[in-house]
Amino acid sequence: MEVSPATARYFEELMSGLESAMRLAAAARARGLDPRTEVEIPVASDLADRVEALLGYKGIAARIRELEQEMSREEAALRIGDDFAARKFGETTPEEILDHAIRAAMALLTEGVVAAPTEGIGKVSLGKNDDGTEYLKIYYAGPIRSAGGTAQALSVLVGDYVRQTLGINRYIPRPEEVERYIEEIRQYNNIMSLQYLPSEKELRMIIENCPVCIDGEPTEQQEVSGYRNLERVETNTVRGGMALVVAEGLALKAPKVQKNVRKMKIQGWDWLEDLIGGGASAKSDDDDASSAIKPKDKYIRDLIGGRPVFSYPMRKGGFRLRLGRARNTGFAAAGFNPATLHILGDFLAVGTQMKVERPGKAAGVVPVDSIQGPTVKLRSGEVRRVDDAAEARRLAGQVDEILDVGEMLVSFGEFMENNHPLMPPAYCEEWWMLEGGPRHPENELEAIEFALDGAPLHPDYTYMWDDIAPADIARLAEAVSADGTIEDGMLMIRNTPETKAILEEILVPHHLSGDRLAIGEHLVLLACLGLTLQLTKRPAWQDAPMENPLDLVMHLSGFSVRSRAGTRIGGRMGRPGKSKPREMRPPPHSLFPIGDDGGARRSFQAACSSKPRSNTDGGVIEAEVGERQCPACGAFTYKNLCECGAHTNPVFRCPKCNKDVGQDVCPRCNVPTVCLQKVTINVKAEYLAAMESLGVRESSVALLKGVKGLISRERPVEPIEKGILRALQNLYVFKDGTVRYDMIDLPLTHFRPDEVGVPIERLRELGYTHDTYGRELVSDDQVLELRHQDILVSQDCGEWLVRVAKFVDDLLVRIYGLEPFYRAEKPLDLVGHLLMGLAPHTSAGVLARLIGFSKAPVGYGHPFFHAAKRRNCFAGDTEITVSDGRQWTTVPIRQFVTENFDLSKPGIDHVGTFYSDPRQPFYVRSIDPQGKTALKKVTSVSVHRAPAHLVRFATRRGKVLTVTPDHAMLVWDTDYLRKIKALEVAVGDRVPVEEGGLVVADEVVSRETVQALDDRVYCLTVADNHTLVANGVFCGQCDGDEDCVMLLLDGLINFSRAYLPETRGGTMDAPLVLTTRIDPSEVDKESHNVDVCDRYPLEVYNGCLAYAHPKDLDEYVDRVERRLGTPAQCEGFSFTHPTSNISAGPLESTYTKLGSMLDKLEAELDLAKRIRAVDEDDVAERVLNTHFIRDLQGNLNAFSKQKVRCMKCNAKYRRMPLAGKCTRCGGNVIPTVHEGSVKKYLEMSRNICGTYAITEYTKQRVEVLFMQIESTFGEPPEKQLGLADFM
Amino acid sequence: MLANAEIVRRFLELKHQVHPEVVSYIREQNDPTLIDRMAAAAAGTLVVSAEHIPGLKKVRDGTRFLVDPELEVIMGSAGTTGSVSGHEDAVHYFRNRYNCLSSMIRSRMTTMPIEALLKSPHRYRDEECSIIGMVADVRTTAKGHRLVEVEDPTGAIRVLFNKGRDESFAEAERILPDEVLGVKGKLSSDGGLFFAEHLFRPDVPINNAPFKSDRPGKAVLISDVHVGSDTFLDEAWNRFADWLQDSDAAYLLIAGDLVDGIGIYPGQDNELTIKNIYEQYDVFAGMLRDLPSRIRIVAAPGNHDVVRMAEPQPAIPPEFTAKFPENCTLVENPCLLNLQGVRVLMYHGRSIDDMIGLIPGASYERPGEIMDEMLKRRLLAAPYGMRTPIAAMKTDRLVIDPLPEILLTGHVHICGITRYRGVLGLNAGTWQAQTAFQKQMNIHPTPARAFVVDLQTLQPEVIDFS
Repeated sequence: MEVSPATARYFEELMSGLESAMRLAAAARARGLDPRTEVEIPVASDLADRVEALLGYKGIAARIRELEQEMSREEAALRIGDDFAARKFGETTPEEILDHAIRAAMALLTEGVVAAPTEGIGKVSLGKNDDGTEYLKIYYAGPIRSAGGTAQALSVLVGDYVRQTLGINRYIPRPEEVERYIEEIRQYNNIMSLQYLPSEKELRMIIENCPVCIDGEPTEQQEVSGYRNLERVETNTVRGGMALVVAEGLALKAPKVQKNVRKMKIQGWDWLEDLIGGGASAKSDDDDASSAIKPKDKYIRDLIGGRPVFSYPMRKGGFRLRLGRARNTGFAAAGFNPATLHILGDFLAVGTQMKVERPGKAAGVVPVDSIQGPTVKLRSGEVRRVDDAAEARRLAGQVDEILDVGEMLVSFGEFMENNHPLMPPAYCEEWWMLEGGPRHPENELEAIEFALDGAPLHPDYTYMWDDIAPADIARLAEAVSADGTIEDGMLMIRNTPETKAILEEILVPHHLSGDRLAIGEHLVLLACLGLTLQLTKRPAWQDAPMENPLDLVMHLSGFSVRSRAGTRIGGRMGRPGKSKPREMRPPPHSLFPIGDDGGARRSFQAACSSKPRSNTDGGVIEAEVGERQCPACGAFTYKNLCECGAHTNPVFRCPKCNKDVGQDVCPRCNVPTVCLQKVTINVKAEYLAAMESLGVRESSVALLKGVKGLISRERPVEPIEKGILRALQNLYVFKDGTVRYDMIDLPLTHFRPDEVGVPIERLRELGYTHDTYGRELVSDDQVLELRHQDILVSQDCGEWLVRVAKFVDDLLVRIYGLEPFYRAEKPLDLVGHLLMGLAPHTSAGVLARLIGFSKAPVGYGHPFFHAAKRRNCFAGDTEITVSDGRQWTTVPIRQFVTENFDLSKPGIDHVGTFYSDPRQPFYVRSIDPQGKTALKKVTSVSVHRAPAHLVRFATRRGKVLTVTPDHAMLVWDTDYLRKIKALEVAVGDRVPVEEGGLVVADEVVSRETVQALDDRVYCLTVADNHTLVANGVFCGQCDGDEDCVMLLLDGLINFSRAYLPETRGGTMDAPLVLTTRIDPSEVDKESHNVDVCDRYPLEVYNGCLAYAHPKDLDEYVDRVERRLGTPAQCEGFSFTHPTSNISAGPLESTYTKLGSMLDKLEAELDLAKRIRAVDEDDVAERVLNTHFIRDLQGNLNAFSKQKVRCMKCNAKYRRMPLAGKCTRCGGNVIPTVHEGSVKKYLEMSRNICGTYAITEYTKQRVEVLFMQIESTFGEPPEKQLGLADFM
Repeated sequence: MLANAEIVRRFLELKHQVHPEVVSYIREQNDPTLIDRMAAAAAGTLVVSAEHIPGLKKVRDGTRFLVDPELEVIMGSAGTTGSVSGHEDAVHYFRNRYNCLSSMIRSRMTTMPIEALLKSPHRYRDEECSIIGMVADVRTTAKGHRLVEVEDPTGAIRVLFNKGRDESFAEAERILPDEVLGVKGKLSSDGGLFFAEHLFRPDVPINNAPFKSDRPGKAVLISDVHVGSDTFLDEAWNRFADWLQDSDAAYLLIAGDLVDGIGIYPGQDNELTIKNIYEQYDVFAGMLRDLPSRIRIVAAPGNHDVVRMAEPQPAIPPEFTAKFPENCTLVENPCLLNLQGVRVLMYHGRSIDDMIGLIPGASYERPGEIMDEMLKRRLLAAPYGMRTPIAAMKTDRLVIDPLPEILLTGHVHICGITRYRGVLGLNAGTWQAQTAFQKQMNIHPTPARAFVVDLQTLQPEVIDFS
């Protein structure tokens, strides 16, 4: 990687920081208190290292580097197979060779950051053809989804390539096997909804011809009904991984496979030709150029109650496209004037996600104050544009109508990334300058002067002429000349509704003066209306062309006039952002198994006082922990450190013969070995001893929480001391031993010292000596270019980091006996320290340096930093999947979201994720932000993209509510309110196997996933049996755009692979490897489309007018892609639009502030009424149709199919047991879906029907539902009459 | 116990072929002497069938006491289903199902409560014993055996059907959740597992003989009219209406989905010609009024109708049926009718969707087979919690008891006829052409057909109006 000396120095600093942290961590680890005595996060500086670290094949990194020099990555992925076939990396059997080659190729293809290579391939084995030859079988598992279609398809090719080298025959399917594939893939599609379901013919072609047998592990609950008990297919259960690889891999990505087949000259793939010719591959979408400029309503097809629409597709008054990039936009973030954000009811806060009409599907909202704000009509009748945030806040209460919502800053790179044709932007000054504008005009007269000199009319004086008909222009001119006068330099016109409407339409600022309209700057207006200063019509009116408004205005005025409306873009609110510490459910302080004795809260205090029998001391629990042996004295224990002071090793025994065989599989019994023992622990004594050794008084820790049990392979127990220290700092541990903070992330290429809250002296020490223009850093309003591994975290995160730093220092001093490292008292002390960033569902952390704090609750980082954490996206099919997948009803919903992605139209959603609307509009997208309950058990919750299912909770007290899975919930915890994600609450309770975490146990709630619509909706977009990946649930912020950060030393010291669940998917979301140096050429290609020039040339604007394709204008725009491989690839970036504060505008969305759905809906509809570009009746109808009715219908349906659960042990039953009580523990069995949750939106829906102009059809649907609900539950009892009723 | 093959061989030795019904009867009775006795009884005929079973007479219910000799709604008249009053109802519901169905099995075998096996496993270890339980869970083990968890009110036990036992395993593969089974077998040595040898279902008694009307009378049976849909076959219906004018049919039964409804599936409004639900029923009422008024019409709701989805579905409420003719009786789904003494069980058939998914080899093309399965289980909808919503109330109306002469279903839009132990099963097709959804699912409906059943002979006839 070629870098400038300055960047090289920066890297050196990072490395030296890392090294010192590593040294310290190694010293701490050497004490033997942890499961391993060395640091368990291997450091990787590039992709090759990551692959090696991820898979652990020694020597592969060097070979990958060699190959990468010569060929493309895809070719290298195939070619590396040769080395495996030549047994260069120590493989012995053919199976092993194939296995490793396929995994290595897949790791390479997925940038070495997702879990697909390790988790997505179950195993590789050889089968027997009917002619006696052998063939290759690859068993795909659920997490293969995370690889994306191309990598999935290519993995088959890799297998074939190596198979041929090894001389193994091709797979010759039997006819019934082909039929089985067809049946099974169709059935899978019914359960999970594939992105693309190949036709029967295509499937037949693929299966009959594919030389490798694509097999899979059973992932679903359903079994096939037709082709069962086949000899060579081991399971009757539907195999999700197989279906994905066949349908979304081979079928959808056939052209990509074919390209590689040709390049590598692999035999036996000629049939791809027919497959592609037969139309098997991705069908063309409606995003092609011809339709690109037509209104697209996809983004409002599924409206969620409480998330307002700001602008209808391409409607007048909607967001006007402004072309450019500010230092905080690009990379799927769009800029808005902070005044716009305020005027739009504060619904859009910094970091809120917005769904937009184009060019992508979604955009992160960031403030840019150098673009235009909204134009509003106040109650006084005055029409004015608001460009200033303070003014917007002041005026917010007086706004009668929002005539225009303002500009939206979108960069050229976004068009490039989304492969969207350019379109005319609003006319703006930078464009005007290119067209001959000399300088910003002082006043109207000067503007007219410039226009007369040949430049087009300056944008500030250009009204929205093209929004009205030529006849309206004539009418306005008539009205002005008829009864207009000029008084005190003001143009006064009679206030008729018609005149005012036209003025409002073209956004001429005016106010009411008595019964007349007063227009201040009117000279340009008069000129454009073809009127003289005496308000008489010019002769030009006589031959005025009345076809086109702009032509008419140009004819009348003699100026060249451009459209200031440009192209309007529709938008609505997406998910609100968030920023908070990661907590499991229930959140533990320590990974110490406390079992049921800890009570619902898993508390040590409760365990210490529990007495199974009277007359005993109490505090003694039984726990299943890993068995370890001391190598020095031979003693058996469960602790990592033997009493004699030596580090212990885990003992793996065969569960059958109970022999310590020291292998993964018992050679005699052929069963996997386990590391497990049942021990009796005197927790009370241990706890007190730990307290004493730490010197902590017992009273200073009110509550210390452990976990219910351990489910990792080794079941190591964390020292209680660590938990106590965390409890002192009020920190909760994640399943892998680390503590994390989740934040939505936004891109940033430049920052100002005054907005990060760090003194310039400190910044100078950190290497920021000069600003982006090369001037010495002396003032805190200079703009500095952000180093690409430096990040800004939210202020709250800063405070949290201080607590973590204190915890780590305590840890070092009091447990490991080392010197403290951070010595931080306030957030500022941590500036310059190193952090680790981790995106959800990935397995690679990225090294980052803390450089400051943002007021907005978001994490700002360089696009490269975000892209480096991001898993790669091949051709846009990047979905991430996590699920707990025991069965589809208990699957975390985040997954649904991913499943619903429309792969054929990848959109970058938000910083951090790819997003796309579901391709079938009927996908359920209902969510349910429930308001506060009377008991205050649950407060309002944040909402995100609607899932195909709702999650239903029943709390202990029988309250039930339905929420989307990523809602934050407060759960009453005896004496305080605990904040947890609903997602976490949601997943299968007390099913330890599932919950890849320790999180499994629950006391408070049960969870039930409820299908939100008819069966026909393949809502069962669900679990890909990543089941075990349920962990993903905990880690990931929903949809993946919230990343998490952890303090580097915390990760290095406390993380252990041994804590991770052994279930499939357990390693997702864990920092299995640390990327230390971001090489722009190795990160997600999306970041290569960030443009870094300081202005666009005229050619770009002309291209926009011609709806040119961005690729054709590539040469005119300086983008990262064009700089790759040079030192300029990571510095010397620029931006076209300045912004004075990256945290301007609302910091918290109204959506999250408002409590109940009723309030949100009211606010949403109220805003809809005021925005000219929004049709409130339509909004109401859409909310009804896509949210409320689906919810009502889905819940009503679910009520009649509901499961029950035991109140005592939380066991779940598909139906009520005959015994009428829990068959396991005899406890009371209660339903999971309650009447209240079914009826929740009923009243609201009926009110909407009464208030808004809802179509008869929708109204009847609500009424029919009402009748059906009454018929199910009976008519509600008469309300008790109050005293007031009689008065 | 005798193996199937053994029984068949013994008959062959006696120069007889044997009906499968007889084989299963002999196995059930476990009495090898029956073979010789029956072979003697059947002397002169080639095939030994149920009628040759000694002492077994087809029991014909010769008289029926009827309040209304023409048309009587025995179960499911409008307003008889209520609402769910609380979750305790679910306990009653499944208990009721268990009690009804287990009593049908109990008459044929001696059983013990599951609790007894659980409490003292050693006592029963090597003894053959029988239990009756409701299926709580059923799955296939890694080795391909079928593992079923069955429960009765006293406890639950896991039952293993060995795939090596061909006779019982074929049936075991067709075990549905929440059906009631009798199982004969042995307890495992540790008492944790029950090895099944034989499986009993409530079933239709082998000696069942249908009642036939003593007076002439014909009933026309249809289903799934789907008025309001753009694929409703208007002309075919008119031909049907014309034909009815001249026919001698006295009854017209419609087994649900009278109209296409609204909001049944996403985007339905694009496929409706009548988007107003009231209007849909009004048009349907008009169609009924055009039929001869002498015909007694009985109409039940289906999943497209305006009532709740959860079964039993109430009758279509009066606000939609104001214009229905006087000769039309609205009933619930399911309902049991009595036409001149001939009992007709009318059920829309939502559960067929579930059963097709669960029963190996079942297909939409052959709804008759599914009806056989319903009769064997004596349950219209066995699995709870799948696609068929069920309102769990005090009693289970989905149990088939008493036995009807005719079982009428619809829902799948494909005609099917079956006769199982004397019960005539009819699936009545539809009046709607192939929809976009069916096209996608590769389902080919058989629209515009009506069944005519002569109540004196119980012989069905299909008339095609397409």
